[in-house]
Amino acid sequence: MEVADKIRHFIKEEVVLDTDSSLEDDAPLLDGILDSLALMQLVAFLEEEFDTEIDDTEVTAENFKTIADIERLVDGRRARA
Amino acid sequence: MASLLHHLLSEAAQRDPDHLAVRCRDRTLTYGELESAANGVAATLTAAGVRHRDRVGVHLPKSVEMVAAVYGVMKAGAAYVPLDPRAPTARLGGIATDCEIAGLISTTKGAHSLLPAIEQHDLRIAIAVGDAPEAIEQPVQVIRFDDAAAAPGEPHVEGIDTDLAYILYTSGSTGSPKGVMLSHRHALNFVRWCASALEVGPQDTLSNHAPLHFDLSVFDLYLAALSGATVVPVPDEITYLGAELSSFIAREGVSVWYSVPSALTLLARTLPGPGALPTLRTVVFAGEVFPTKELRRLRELLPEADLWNLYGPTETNVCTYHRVTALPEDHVPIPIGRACENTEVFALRDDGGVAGVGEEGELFVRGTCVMDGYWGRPERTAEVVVPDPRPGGRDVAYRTGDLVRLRPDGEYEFLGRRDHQIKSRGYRIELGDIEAALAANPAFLESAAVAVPHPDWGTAVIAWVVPRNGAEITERTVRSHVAGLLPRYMVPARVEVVDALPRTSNGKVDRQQLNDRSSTVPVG
Repeated sequence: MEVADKIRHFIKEEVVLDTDSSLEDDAPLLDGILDSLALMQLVAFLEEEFDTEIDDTEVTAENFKTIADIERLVDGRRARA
Repeated sequence: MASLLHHLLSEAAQRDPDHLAVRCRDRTLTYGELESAANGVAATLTAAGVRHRDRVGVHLPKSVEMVAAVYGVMKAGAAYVPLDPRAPTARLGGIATDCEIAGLISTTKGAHSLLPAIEQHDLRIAIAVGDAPEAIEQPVQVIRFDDAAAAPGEPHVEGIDTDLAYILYTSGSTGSPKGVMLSHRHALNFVRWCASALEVGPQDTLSNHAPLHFDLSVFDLYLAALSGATVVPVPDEITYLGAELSSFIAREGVSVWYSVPSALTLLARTLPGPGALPTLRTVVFAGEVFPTKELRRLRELLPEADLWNLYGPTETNVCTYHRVTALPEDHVPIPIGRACENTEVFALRDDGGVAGVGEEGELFVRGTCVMDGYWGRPERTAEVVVPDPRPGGRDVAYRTGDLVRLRPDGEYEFLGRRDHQIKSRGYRIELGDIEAALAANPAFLESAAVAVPHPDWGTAVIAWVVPRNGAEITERTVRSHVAGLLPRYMVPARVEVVDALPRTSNGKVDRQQLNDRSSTVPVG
């Protein structure tokens, strides 16, 4: 599965709790989908799934606005690793 | 002198019409512009048939329009009912139906989804922020917000200070939300006390982090207007992003911040060191217990800031305050403090006597801060707004259900909910005590203690712990930590180590969800 698909799968399964919903790469996540609990769960998921560490200072709107933004954050980490 | 909340706006606009009243994202309104927009909204509502003492739903994201909307509703003589845009439509429809709103102020998209869920016939008008409201097919008049705000005329609805200003719906024990009714006088009394205690003036910039349906917004909006200061609503999409909140404070030059402790904890984790937010002079928090360990960290990062703990259920907004000076040890929570001006608090022991120094009791509140009741629920109101139970008591008091202890210095300590008081194996246990012990461990980022029924012990305590990044935590380490601070009988029976605690839309720990999850945990 691609990075974006894994993130999408997690958000649909664990946050939206509706696997039928469509969640495009550019859908806004911070305006109603990700609340404080979901954000923490998502960060923990990313850290484990992609074997990386995400600092609190990196949990920004720029990095978490959409699935595409999260994918960019993860890809950037993996390129550096 | 102002006797209604919107008089605060009119007076500020008269004093200094060009002073910045509200800024959100890249939109700003001066006091003159805000007054004019609110007058337009009021005139539009009135023309549509909204009358003195009606209710109008405000279903808007954080925006300059949200601020103009609440003033417009009050200027029309009505009470505003915040409808959380993030809440499920069915729940909002139920609230709007319950209090029979006569008008709705929403976005075009919001109105489109919410209007069909409102099952009553008194709705006369919807005002929609955004384009093309004509796309909404409803048997109700829909007007663009910008057109409403630009409507000429000044409203001439004369109310009195005991009229309702707003109704805040909170979760009810039976599952359907109950509407807490609050008057102009109630909010005015509070913000006047704030202005003098916190010394807020026109040079200040106040944050508005809490959503409109949470009573922290009353402080933000009306203290700003009373003081002629600027209020800066925090855009919804950064509400839970600590790093963004820090940048927001720096960028907007926020001098007075008010939020739940958990938002401050998030924010503190992203600050590089002391002095990073030089404009922030006063930090006020309420809504839940601020773990002393986290508060100490915040104070180290904001050494210049004045810290205030405010306490009060929605039914009283705020009734006590504690100005943070010396901090106790990590496992001892800070007090909720003493009564605000024109407010009296006292605690009743189980035997009905007034609790003295060192004694525990249920906290009662008397004064202007006490709500008018729950909308449409006189029986439920009568259970909590009761005749002053003390000898010679003449009026009413609100019974909070919160257990407190009076300290020798006259301040009250919060011990827990009356319904969180548990007995296990014959021992009396306060969950707050266990939570304070958990909070004292630096390896635990967050924690909570929940009581579940147990066939043998009466009750068992389950601890929920979120490890700090990288911390290795097991059931055993948690139990042995608590055992080091509390009597053995208070050590949780089971420990659930989790990635995060569930939270409500207000940002508080969601106790209901924790209770539900705890009931499925097997206890030996």
